[in-house]
Amino acid sequence: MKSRRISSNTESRVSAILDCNIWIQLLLGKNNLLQQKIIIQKYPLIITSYGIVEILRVLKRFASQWKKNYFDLEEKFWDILNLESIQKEFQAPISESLLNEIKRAPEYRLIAEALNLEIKDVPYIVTAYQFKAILVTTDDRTIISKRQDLNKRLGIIIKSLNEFLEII
Amino acid sequence: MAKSKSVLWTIKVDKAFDNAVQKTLSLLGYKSKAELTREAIREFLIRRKLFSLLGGEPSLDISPKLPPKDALTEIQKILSDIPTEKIDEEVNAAREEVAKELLGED
Repeated sequence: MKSRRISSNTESRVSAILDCNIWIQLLLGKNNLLQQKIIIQKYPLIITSYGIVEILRVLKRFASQWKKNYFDLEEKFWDILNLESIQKEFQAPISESLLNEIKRAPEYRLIAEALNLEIKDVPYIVTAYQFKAILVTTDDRTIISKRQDLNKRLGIIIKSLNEFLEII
Repeated sequence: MAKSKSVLWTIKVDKAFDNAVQKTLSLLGYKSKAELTREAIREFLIRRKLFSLLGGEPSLDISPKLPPKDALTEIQKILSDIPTEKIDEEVNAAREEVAKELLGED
C-alpha cells in the first residue's frame, strides 16, 4: 500500500483529531500544555459528529453521577467548539449526522475486522484518513500498538498525547 | 391574568415501554420522563427536517454565549470535583455505550 505524505492545504500546521479521552482532559483542565496549544495557540483540530457524541455522553455521565446541570455543560462545550481553529465536520444538525454514522456502521465493522481494531476507534481512523490529519490518542492498547501498520498501509500518522505535544 | 406558556401532556403507554423508558433515564442521566420525552420529540422533529417548527436548525446554529476560553474556564470550574481516578472509567464506559448504540458493537 502506498504511503501518503501528511500535509495541509494552506496552514503550516497539520490538523489533528483528538480522541475523546484527550478532549475530556482538556475540558477538565488536566493538562496545561494541551490547553495552551489548543486554546491559546489555536492548533487546528477536526471534530466529527461521532466524536462530539462520545464527549457529550461523558459529560452526561458526569452530570448524572456528580449532580451537574448537563445542559449547562453541553452549552459551554458548544461555546468551546466555536474556536475558529476547530473544524466541525458535520453539515447537518447533529441528530441527522448521527443517522449518517449509523448508516455507515457495516462499513465501520468491516474496517474494524480488516484492520483488527476496536469498532469504536474506526470513526477516528476514517476521519484521520479522510482529512490527512494526525490522530492523537491515549489508547495504547489498540491504536498506538498498531500505528506502524496503519501508517504503512494507509499513511495515517498516529501520535500519543505526549508525542503530539512535543512536536507542535 | 397572563396565560401560561405551558400545556400538560398525559400519555398512555404500555408497561414494557414504560420500563424501557425508566431504564433509559438512569442509563442516559435524564432527571425525568418528561425531560426525556421533550428531547426525544425535539430530536424526532430535527431528523425529519422540521426545524422551522422549532425555530431553526438548533445544532447548526451554535450561538456562542461565552468566548471559547471563558467557556472552558467555566466548564473546568463546574467539573473540578470529579475525582481524577474516575475519569478514565467514565470515558471508557461512555465510549462503549456510544459504540454499542451507534455502531452495533457487541
